[in-house]
Amino acid sequence: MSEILDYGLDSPTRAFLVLVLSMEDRARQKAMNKLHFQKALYYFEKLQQDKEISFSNFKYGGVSFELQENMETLVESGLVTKVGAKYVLTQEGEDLAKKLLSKYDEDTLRKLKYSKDLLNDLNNKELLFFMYMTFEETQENSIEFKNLVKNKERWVKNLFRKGRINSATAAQWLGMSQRDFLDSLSV
Amino acid sequence: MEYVFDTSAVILLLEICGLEKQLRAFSAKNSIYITKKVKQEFLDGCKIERNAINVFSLCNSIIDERVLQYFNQNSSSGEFWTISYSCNNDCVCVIDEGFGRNLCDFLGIQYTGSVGIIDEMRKQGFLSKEDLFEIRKRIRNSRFYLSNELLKTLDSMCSHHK
Repeated sequence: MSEILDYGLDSPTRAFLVLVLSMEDRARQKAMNKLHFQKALYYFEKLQQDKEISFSNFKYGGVSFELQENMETLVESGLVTKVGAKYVLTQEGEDLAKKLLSKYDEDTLRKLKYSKDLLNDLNNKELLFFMYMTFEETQENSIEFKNLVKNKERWVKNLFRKGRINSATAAQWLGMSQRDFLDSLSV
Repeated sequence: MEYVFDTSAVILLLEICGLEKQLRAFSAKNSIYITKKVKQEFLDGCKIERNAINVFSLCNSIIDERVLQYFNQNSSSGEFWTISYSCNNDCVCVIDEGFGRNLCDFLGIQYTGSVGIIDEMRKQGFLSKEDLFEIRKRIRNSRFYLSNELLKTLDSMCSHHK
């Protein structure tokens, strides 16, 4: 217990960062880059309908400086290490993550896992497009959205084929009927 | 067994594969349901006799908040109503799209796909070996999307019966 307090893991922001890094995504990868942990936790907060973490709509959509600061602190404290552009838990971080699991209910942990599963193996463009379209308010100050929209058919089809959106959403995003969308996939 | 079908599965089985008669026979031994929203989505752009949809019984689905959050609070898709129904009833969800199948997996809902239903119909004696080959030909010749994984399953079912 004291270790959790020593590392400030009683703070949900920091605890969720450790927990999300301890989970495997669909490709059985745990590592996450800056964009992916930001978006996974943004999505998780929406699922939770919580405001535990503060997000602002910035150049790359919804991002949290609080999250970034906490991640840097976790690196400095030796619970997380950086491998290239990705963040990974150290052994000490993994051990603490196991202790943290008992502090959260099953539903919260399931939603966190779902968020990572949904987003972590998408490439940066697919991820940004998905987030901008799902949470339209995050398009507000975006420097990327206009460029992404130019190739929206490509991103929508990729997201559908990867099972991240359904055909109803895909059709809506492309402004066509569901049947036309499904037919367009085989062309 | 009780099944609740999503729109793309209904389109594939009724419209692409032309299995109305076989589904009717199957429904004598199994309960096959669709939600109102799925019926509406099927009829929107329907390319066959519209009454064919009546081979399915209508079921009453409710908004399940646990499911709704994974649809970004948007209840406008047939898939949402299908999964919501499955979440609250002892039935198998028939769904082909990756998103829905992933969600069923995640929520612990029992599911299968169009190909799984075709296999079940064959096992229960409602489809012959010749029917299987005809179904594969129709699906392959159509523009309708079915994932490579499901197509491979269908191929392996056919090769098993050569």
